[in-house]
Amino acid sequence: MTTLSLHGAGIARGDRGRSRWLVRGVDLELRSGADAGELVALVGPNGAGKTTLLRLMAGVWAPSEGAMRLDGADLHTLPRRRLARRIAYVPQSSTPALDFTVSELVAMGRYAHQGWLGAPAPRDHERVRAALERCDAAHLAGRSAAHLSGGELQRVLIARCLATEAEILVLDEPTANLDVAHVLEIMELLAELAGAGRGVVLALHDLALARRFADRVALLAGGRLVAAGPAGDVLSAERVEQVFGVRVVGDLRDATAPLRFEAVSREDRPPC
Amino acid sequence: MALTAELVPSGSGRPRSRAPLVFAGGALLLLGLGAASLLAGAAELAPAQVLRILLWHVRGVDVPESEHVADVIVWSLRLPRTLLGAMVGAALALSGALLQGLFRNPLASPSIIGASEGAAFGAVLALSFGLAERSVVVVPTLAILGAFGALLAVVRVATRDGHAPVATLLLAGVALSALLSALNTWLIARAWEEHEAARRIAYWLMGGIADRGWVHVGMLLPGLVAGLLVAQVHAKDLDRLLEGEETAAALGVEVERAKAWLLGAAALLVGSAVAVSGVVGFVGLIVPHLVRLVLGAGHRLLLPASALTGAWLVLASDLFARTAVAPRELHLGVVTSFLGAPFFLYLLRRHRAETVL
Repeated sequence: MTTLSLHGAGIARGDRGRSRWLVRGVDLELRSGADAGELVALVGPNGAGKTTLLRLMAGVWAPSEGAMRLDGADLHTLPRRRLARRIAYVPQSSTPALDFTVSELVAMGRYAHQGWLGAPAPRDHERVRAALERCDAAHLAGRSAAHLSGGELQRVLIARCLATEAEILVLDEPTANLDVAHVLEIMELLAELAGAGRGVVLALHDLALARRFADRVALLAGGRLVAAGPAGDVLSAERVEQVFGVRVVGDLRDATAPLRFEAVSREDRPPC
Repeated sequence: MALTAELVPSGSGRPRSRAPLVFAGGALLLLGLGAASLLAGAAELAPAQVLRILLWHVRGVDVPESEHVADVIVWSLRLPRTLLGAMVGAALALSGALLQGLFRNPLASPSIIGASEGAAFGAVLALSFGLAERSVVVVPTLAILGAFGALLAVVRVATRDGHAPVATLLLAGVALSALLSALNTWLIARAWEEHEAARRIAYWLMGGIADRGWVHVGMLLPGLVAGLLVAQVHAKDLDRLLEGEETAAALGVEVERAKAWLLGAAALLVGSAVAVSGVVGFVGLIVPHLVRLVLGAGHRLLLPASALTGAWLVLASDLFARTAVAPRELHLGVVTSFLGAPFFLYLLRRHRAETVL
C-alpha cells in the first residue's frame, strides 16, 4: 500500500517580488494498494488550480511551502528515476512526438527501469504488451502515434502509465476533447484500475462524471481546497452554486439521477 | 511516416528489423567510398600499391625510397582527408539529430540556428589574432566555445517552456548568423593587410577538407568521440523530451541536467567539425530526416545511425567535389549546400501547414 499525501502544500510562481500563489494550503491524501485503490476527481472552475495541484502531486513541480510525502518520505528527495517508477503522469492534451509507433511510445514507460545504454529486456516487452492489452490497445501497437484518434491516444498514454508499474496515476483532464462514448470508456478503464489497487487522481470538468465514477471528489476554488470527500457530500447544491455559479437541477446525491445546470446571474449567487 | 506506418500492420518490428540494413549497409558504403577516396586523384595509383603503402604503415615498416611520392600522396594527403570527410559528416549529422530532438523542431540544425557560425567566429578569432600558431588545441577550443555561446543565445531567445517554435527558432538563427558572419567579415577585413592570412581564413571559412592533414584528424577526434558517448548515454532522455519537459520529468528524466549535457555535446561536435572544415552546411539537417524515415524516431538507433549516414554522405560529397570538375575542385560546402538547400525548402513547405507564424 502506498500513500501520497499533501500537508499544507502550496506553490507560488512568478518573478521575484511579484510572485503569486497558484495553490495554497492543500491537505489531501491519495491511497493505492490491494484493497485501498481509489479514484479521486479534482473538480473546480477554470483557473482554480487543478493543473497546478496535479503537477505537484506528480512531482513535476516542487511545492514552495508545505510538504509532499510518498509513504512518509519527502517526495522531492527521491531521485527522478525512482519517482517515475512510483508516480505516472499524463499532462493535459499531451501531443506525443509524431514519428513514434504506439509500442515505442508505451515502451518509454519502461525507461526508468532500464540502464542508460541497455536495450529493452524480454520483461520490458512483456510489460508493454500487457499494458496495451489491459487498455484494449494491443491492436494499435505498430501504428504511428501521429495517426491515432483522441480516444485511442488517451488509452495509449494510460497504457504507458501502466507500463511504468507506478501505483499512483495522475491525469490532467483525460477526457478532454473526447466524444461521449470514449469519455465513458476512459472513465470505466480508470475506475477499474482504481478497483484493482491503483491510486488514480484526475482533473475533471464534468460534475456528473465525477459523481458517477469518483470514490472521492476534491473541490478546488481560487487555489484553495474547498472540500474533499464522497461526491454526495462535497457536491452539495449550495456549494456547487457558490463555486461554479450554476444552479443544480436534479439530485446530486443519487449518482444515477439525471443532472442539469442552469446559469445563475452574479447578483443572485450566495456569498462565498 | 504515414506510408511506413500503413505498410506495417502490427507489432513493434518496424525500426528494429531495418536497423541491420542501415548499419551494415552504411558500414559497407563507408568502406567502399573510403577505398574510392584513397584511389581518386590526379596521381593514378593502383589499388595494390595503395594497399601496400597502408600495410607498411600499419606494420611500422620503413617505406622504400622509390615509393616516397606515392607514400606522401596516400598517407599524408588522401588518408587524412578521407578520415576527415567521414568524421566531419558524423559530427555534423549527429549534432543535427541532437538539436532537432532538443528543440523539438524538425528544421533545427547547426548551420541553420547559428551554431556553425558561432563556431566559425571562435575559430576566426583564433586564426586572425595569431593564437592558432601557439597550440593545435586553440582553434577547436575557441570553436567549441563559440558554438556553445551561440546555442545558449538561441535557447534564451527562441525557447519557451523548452520548446522552440519553427518560426521563432529560424528567425533567431538568421539574426544570430547574420551578426556572427558580420563579425567574421570584420575580422577578415582587419587581417587584410597581411594578405596571405586573410586569404587563408576566407578560404577555410568556405567549408572544405582539402589540404588538411593528420593534425586536423587529431583536432576533431576527441570532440567526436566524446560527443558520440554523451549523445548515446542520453538517447533515451531525448525520446522522452520530445513530448515536453513535464512528461519527460514524469518519465524519470532529470530535465535540466540532460539538456545541459546534450547542448554541451552538440557544441562539442559542431565546434570540432567547424574547426577543421569551416562551415559545411545542411548535413546536420538532411541526415537525421533520412534516417528517421527508415528507422523511426527512437534516438537509441537514430543517433548512431545518423552519425554513420553522415559519415558516408559527406565522404561521397567530398569525392564528388574532388572529381566532378577535375583537375579543379569544388568546395565541399558548396556540394552539401546544393544537396541540402532544396531539401530544406521542401521541409519548410511541408511544415508550413502546422506552423503558426
